Amino acid sequence: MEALRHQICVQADPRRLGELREQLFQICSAEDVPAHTARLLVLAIDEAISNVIEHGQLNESDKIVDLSMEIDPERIVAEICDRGKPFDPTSARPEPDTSSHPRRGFGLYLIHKIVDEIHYTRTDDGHNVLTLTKEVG
Amino acid sequence: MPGLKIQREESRDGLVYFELEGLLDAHNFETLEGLFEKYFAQDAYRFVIDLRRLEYVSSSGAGVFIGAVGTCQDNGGDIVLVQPSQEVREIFELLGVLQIFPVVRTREEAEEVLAKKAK
Repeated sequence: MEALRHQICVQADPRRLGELREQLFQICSAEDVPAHTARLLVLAIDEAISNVIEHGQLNESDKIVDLSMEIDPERIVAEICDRGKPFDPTSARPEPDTSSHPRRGFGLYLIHKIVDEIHYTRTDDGHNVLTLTKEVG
Repeated sequence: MPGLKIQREESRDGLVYFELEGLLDAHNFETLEGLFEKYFAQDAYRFVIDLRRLEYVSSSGAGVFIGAVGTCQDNGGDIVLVQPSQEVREIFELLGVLQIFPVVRTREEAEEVLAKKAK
């Protein structure tokens, strides 16, 4: 079966994250993605885009993140493309040391915990492309 | 678009109750963080947080709880969570932090836990 591809243009603004999550849940529901898989995938995408917004140092003219999702019965592949500063989030993240009660730094750990594959490319024309793959089930 | 609603209540014996409803994420976590800071400035370190109606928490929201519970425990208090929703429980479990919070089913049970930590 051919994978269905969804394209979303995301404003890089934390106020828009709720709207994005709602849109992603609607897509997952329409594609019959199991609720548990959808919840985790939406969380991983939310964390990845939040990182771009917070750390990407986007110029005013680049405050757009392009998100695509390919959904087939076995897996979902989400591609997040932005023009922020280069950042490779693919190296494994250690479990947070909760005994020291850190307030931040959980996002990448969560992404690694949720997805089955993570891939990063910095393109010649200055884009970060982060690909998250999650098996359905 | 639903956001975050926080209802607050303070008891005469120094307990602080928060009831959270909606979505806690990178956009609004500082609201909750600011509230904790306000109470810490008043030497209030015993909190009951009702999470029954919190539908979503991202890592930035979870980080507020993780940071705040450290401050509370260092000062003889604690944060007791009342009935985290399935979604919130799942995220806390993924982060491996659920065990650092007492989790109970009712406000009364939370008060019992915190009574043992009363100054």
